[in-house]
Amino acid sequence: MKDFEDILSGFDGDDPTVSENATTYSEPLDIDGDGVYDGVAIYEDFNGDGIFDSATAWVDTNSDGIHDFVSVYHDQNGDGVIDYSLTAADVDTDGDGIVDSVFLGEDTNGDTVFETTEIMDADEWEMFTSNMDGDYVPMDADGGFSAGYEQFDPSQTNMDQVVGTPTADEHCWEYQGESGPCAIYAQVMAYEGMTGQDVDPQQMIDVATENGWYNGSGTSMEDMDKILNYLGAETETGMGGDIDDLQECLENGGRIVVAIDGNEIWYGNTETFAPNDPNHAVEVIGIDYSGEEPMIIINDSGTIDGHAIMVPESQFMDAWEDSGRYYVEAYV
Amino acid sequence: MLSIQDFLKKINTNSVVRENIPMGLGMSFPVLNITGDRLLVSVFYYRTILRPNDQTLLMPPEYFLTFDYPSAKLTSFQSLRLDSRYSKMNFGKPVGTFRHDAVKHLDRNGYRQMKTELFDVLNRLIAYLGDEGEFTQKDEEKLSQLYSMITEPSLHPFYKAISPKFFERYIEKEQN
Repeated sequence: MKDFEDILSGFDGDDPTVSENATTYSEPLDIDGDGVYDGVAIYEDFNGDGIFDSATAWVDTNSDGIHDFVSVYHDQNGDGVIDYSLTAADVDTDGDGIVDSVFLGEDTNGDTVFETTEIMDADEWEMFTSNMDGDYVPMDADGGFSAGYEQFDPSQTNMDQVVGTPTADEHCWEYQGESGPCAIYAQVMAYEGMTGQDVDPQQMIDVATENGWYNGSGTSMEDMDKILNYLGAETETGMGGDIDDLQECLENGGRIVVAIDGNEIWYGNTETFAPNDPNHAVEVIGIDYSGEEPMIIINDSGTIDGHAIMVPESQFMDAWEDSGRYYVEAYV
Repeated sequence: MLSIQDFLKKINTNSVVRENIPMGLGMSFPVLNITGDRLLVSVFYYRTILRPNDQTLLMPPEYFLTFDYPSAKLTSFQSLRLDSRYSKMNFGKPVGTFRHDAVKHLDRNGYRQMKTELFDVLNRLIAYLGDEGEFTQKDEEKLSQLYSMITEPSLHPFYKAISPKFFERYIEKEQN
């Protein structure tokens, strides 16, 4: 199977990773090299920074004139490295020569290995695609995060008024995908921020699964510190935390993982809401006191562009209240 | 009297939920069970995968929990993934989408308001059951109307499973 690099190498001349003021760019592809175009690649620059951050390849693998393979690649944190991809391909599961299902694979960390795969029949595919007009998180017309929060920008604030190291810690952020290992990702991000070490979240999911801290559906609040302990960090958990606890932990070089109502953070400023308010683990990476209201800066693995999101203190406290303001402080 | 809102907060932050319910799963609306002289509150926990434009996915419930009211002591805990009666259920497949027709006209505040109204009338029923207040025919009809409207039809089988009598009286009746 071709990958993203193969698609890029299919271009001659201009470097397709540079948008040169174009927000989209498309080129025909000859994936099998037989001199006949069998697909098209579409590059998109969502944030207008001149670098394409998404590429989609549509390919006709069996030369019947119909695109039967599509792969989408994203650079979510703008570091120039593909860190998310989704692939869909027609498959014939019973070998009768007729396509009857769709294979769907998701690589949520850019390691080129699918963390989740699924074979969908026609009904399931229809249900899935009928929901494709939205996404797991709200996207605006240009594909950016649109829950109404800004992302932390050190050039736009007085850094003397900022607690923690959000500029460095946001690089530890990774997207968890549409599954439930938020607490594991939050712990991994916290550990990486403290130590500078690179930890594979998937490996930690395996460890958590083996130890009963993750059941494929999620992690309970009581197990929200187990991976940190496994990695060697010391932790302290508690209920009823407040902004002073967050500040003190960050000032002492620690990191803090909190359980909040995720919907309130993701969709608090949008029209979208849900019938219930589930808890969700995020890492607090800083507090910005420079404005009228303190802004809590979080790394949220459940949001496709969730690094260094700034949430007003009042909204953060509302969301935190739902878990009884449960927190894990971590130190190495 | 402990309000149902405070009771739900109490159970959502107690050790049973903290230790056993994975984050990411949210609570259903509460329904009541009466066993002997005890009032019990039952809920289930399920995941929602949020998407705009009324396409939020409702995943199958994974846990049924029942608590004594008002102590919030756990009286039963059922993990559906480990229950043979639900062995054929695909927990990765949505059972429906939110919002359904009866609440489609509501925005976030309207939905929240309806929840508040539901809990207010439910508080009157709980008070009445504890000999602490009145519960009129009008309240009965109002509670039935609100439960029928606000609960997701695709989740009704699960509401019925955790409290058949309450379901028949306050959710199913209004629909027939």
